[in-house]
Amino acid sequence: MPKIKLNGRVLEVEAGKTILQVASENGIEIPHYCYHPKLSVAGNCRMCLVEVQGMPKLATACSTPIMNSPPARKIDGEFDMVINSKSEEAAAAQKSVMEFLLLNHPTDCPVCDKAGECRLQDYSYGYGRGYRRAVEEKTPKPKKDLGPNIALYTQRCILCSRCVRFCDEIVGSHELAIANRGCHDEIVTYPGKPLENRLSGNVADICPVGALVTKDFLFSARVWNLKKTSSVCSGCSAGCNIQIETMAEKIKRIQPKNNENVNSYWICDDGRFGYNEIQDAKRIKYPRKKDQSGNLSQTDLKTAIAEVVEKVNSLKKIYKPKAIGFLGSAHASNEENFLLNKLARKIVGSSNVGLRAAEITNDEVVFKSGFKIYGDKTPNRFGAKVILGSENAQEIYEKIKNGEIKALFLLGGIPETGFLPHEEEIFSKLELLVVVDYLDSDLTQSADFSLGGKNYFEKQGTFTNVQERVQKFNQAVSSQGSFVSDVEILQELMVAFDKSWKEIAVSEIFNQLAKENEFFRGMTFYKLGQEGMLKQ
Amino acid sequence: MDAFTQNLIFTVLKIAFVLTFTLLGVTMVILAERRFSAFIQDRLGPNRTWFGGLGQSFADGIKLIVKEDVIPNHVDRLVYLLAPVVMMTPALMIGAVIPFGATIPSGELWLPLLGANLENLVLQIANINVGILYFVSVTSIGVYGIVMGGWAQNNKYSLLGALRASAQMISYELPLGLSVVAVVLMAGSLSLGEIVKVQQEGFWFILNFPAFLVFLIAVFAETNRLPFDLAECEQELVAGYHTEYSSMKFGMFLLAEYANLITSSAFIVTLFFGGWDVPFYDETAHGLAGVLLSVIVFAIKISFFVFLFIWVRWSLPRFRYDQLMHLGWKRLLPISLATVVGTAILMVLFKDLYH
Amino acid sequence: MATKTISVDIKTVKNDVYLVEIFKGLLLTLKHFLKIGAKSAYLAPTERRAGKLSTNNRATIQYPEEKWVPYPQYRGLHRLNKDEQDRTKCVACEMCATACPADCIFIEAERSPWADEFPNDPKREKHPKIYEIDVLRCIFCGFCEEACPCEAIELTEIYDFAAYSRENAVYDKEKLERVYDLTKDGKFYQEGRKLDFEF
Ligand code: SF4
Ligand code: SF4
Ligand code: SF4
Ligand code: SF4
Ligand code: FES
Repeated sequence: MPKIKLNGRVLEVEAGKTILQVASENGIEIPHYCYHPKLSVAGNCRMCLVEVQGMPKLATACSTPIMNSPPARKIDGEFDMVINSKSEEAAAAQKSVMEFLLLNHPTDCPVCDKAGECRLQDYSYGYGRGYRRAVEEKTPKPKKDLGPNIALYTQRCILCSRCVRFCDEIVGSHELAIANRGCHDEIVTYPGKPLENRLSGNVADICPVGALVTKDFLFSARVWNLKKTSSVCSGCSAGCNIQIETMAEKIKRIQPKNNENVNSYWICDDGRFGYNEIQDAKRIKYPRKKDQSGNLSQTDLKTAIAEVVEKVNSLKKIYKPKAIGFLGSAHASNEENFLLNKLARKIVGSSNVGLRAAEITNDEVVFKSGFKIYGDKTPNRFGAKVILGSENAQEIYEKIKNGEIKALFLLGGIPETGFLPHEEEIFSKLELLVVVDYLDSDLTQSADFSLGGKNYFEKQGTFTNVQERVQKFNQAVSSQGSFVSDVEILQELMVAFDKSWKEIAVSEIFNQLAKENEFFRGMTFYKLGQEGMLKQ
Repeated sequence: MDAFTQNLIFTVLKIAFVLTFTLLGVTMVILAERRFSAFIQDRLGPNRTWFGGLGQSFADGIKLIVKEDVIPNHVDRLVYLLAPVVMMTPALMIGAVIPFGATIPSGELWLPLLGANLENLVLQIANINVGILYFVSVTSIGVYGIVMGGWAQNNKYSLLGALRASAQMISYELPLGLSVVAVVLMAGSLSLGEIVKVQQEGFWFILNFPAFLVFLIAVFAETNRLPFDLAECEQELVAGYHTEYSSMKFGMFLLAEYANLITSSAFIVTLFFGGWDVPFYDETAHGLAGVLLSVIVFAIKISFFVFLFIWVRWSLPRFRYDQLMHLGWKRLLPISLATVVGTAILMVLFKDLYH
Repeated sequence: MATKTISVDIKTVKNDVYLVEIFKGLLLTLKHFLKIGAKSAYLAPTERRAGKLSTNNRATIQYPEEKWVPYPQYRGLHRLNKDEQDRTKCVACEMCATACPADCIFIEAERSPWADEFPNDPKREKHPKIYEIDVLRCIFCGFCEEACPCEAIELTEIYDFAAYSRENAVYDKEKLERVYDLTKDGKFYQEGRKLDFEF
């Protein structure tokens, strides 16, 4: 292994890695724009120039690999390479690169969406000259609309070509290109073909400056005011890692969070912009009940639950415990399904447990890099299946139809949807329908008791994605609807049926699940960490 | 009507007069203090309430009365409540022995209409023959108010204020007493009525200037006025002994302070400036009119000293504590002793001057 | 700066007796007392009478009738500046809100109605939909003014804007722009203007 000296530090590294990779692995900052770990090396921004002893000129750190040198030519008799990114020469180069990049840059940071997380800003402070020498007018380049989600502030672009490479290499759509020459260079789409691939939001993330912006986030907040919560996307069964950025209890944007096991640096636009619908949905604030004549009235959780328990107990007497059905949800967390399962099998004593989930769609896309949007739009189908021991809801539906099941507990959580197809008709046969769902929908309106709940931005829990990886999602905002979360409601129910049950926190529930369920064995809530866990 | 009833009626009337005079006086003095201090500092002072600010003190009084009366939890309740009373009572009691006008001859009074068979009416509530002792003892009760207030509030600043006040009062009581001794020597009596009479017939005791000076300074210290207000100096002690008093209880401390001011001025006037004596005028010559004049002149003299108090307060900075003690024990005490001895010697030498 | 040492002998007999100095002090205050007291003892606070005693003689200003005119650097109520065409200059960059140590500025941005007039100036594309300053929390440090890249927010000379309710003490965009109208010539108090808001 080559032995190198990088900014005075002696390192032994693998040959073939680039200087920039080695530096970032070892926590040494070398400024760079065009290099992105998941894109090909372009070497066009020249910001990463470093001094390599023995080389006639400065070298770009992003494209210069670490090499062995023959023993006779080792520097000081031991080092294969001696690299310095802070030498006078390198610093001068950084200064002049910055000056070039800013030559036609509008520096309108006050209104720029990127300000606060902009490389140009950061490097201006760190490596720049601090003032402008050019007196010439800047070439104006107006703002452009690139597609339904993305706008381009052309003049802010530093032509690093990250966005172009992204479309070429990750999406494979080749939608962007650089046109014109010299200072008229700009990013363009093909005429009449807007940037509308389903990963387009990512170009705004990888753009090191404020040139590409999402229209969704444009003007809506300054980034330094955002509170960041790491979480998992619930848009499909891929379980992409995300960062939910909020301000004043409102979600302002969602960004991908790097997890090489799942989504790398990317997320799709559905997950990125989908929060608006969930956030703006009509919500249930207080538990509701329906009387004989079909009128809805507001009640409180304690009375509602007491009445539910009373009703279930009387039904249990008339029929058998088997007459109480339970439907878990592929949209609910592992913990919620676990509690429901416990309620059904241990407390009520019914084995009529099913899994309710939206149909798997055929909207499945695989991109060039292998990034996949799944057709299964449920975040937790696998986890729910493992926990409930049931594949779907068919059996339960049948039993309701032929009158075996008289009462049904149901976990909701399907965004934007109340009844699934045919359910309305089937459920009308029931004597008692208890729903735990946050949406104010036709389902919760026709339920005898709808107990409320929180959406997944407002609560904590775990999902098991399609690769069978268990990952945590976290509460990012406080609830716009119910004040109690689904696990709290379920536990209230359990306590009402069985006084010996003690209410515990989500993490405890998961730990208990890990103890009881074969699939989760060996995991703890704490051990899930940032990256999640596979079956041990 | 027998003599007892007569006496009772007149005493009650006199008490009413003195109290009214003192309390009304207090409101005016407070206003005067505020406006004069303003003038001294090139300001205008309160000049909005009623005619150019005359109602200010009444407005403030109403404000103090209707304000929330906060009694902190940690105070020693009984002592806390008692302190303002103990402070206020002596301040008003002193008025009892001060002669505030010439004696009304029996024939002059229209009161025979009531069928009374009158003696001469002395304008003094109680012409006791130990008036001066009464004054000295009653003024020193006032310090109990301060000490109690400071103690009851259970906080160190108040306690420090109270401690300072008591130490200060004890220190200055001595020169005060001794300078009064000089006056007593000259007058040959402890009765205030007698002292005024002697002055009226001879010269005012201001002649004994050193005694006057010592008395004046000691009175400043006794009333806790600047430059001797160490008991309540804001910079060091927040507000000293009344820090945690609010509403009218605080108002009572304030009232007591100004009542003290008036009675002390009255005492200075009585002891050194001939009391109600109108110079070069025989008060009995024009009957009731002459008596009235004497009362007015007495009031004017008091006003002058009240003004002096205010004037000094807004001109001089506060003493440091050690300076205060230094002045009291090392300067005033020897001077007052010397005054007593000197006065006695002079009295022997010029026997005939007064008697 | 060189230090100059002045030695004053305070231990003279004259000083030690106090009385001479006290007397001198008393005379001085008496002089002031007479100067103001003699002239103003009977003056009531109407405007007409206030005029009788020129401000050279007194420090007091008879407030509602007379008003103090602050110095040019005075930091009072804020205003939001407008350009020649009455468009707000503010670009909702939130620099002021970020700089504000009291955290009393709240801004919500949106696309400005005049964005299309400035195709090449992204600055004018953004403007504040909501701009609120809670003057009860403000400490009038002027950092917002300092931070503003567009000279949009400024502190004016206005000092009398006490309000009867907390809501009225929150100045929104309309109010702040109205303040600009009233103060743009810098003669708010000279011309005897008043804030015409609900307080
Ligand atoms: S891209 Fe960066 S430097 Fe350029 S205006 Fe935006 S924040 Fe400022
Ligand atoms: S738009 Fe952004 S990512 Fe694309 S070339 Fe310009 S600076 Fe780079
Ligand atoms: S003056 Fe200071 S405290 Fe007030 S708004 Fe401006 S920055 Fe904030
Ligand atoms: S007032 Fe100035 S600093 Fe504040 S948001 Fe507007 S332009 Fe930015
Ligand atoms: S990062 Fe190396 S040239 Fe851009």
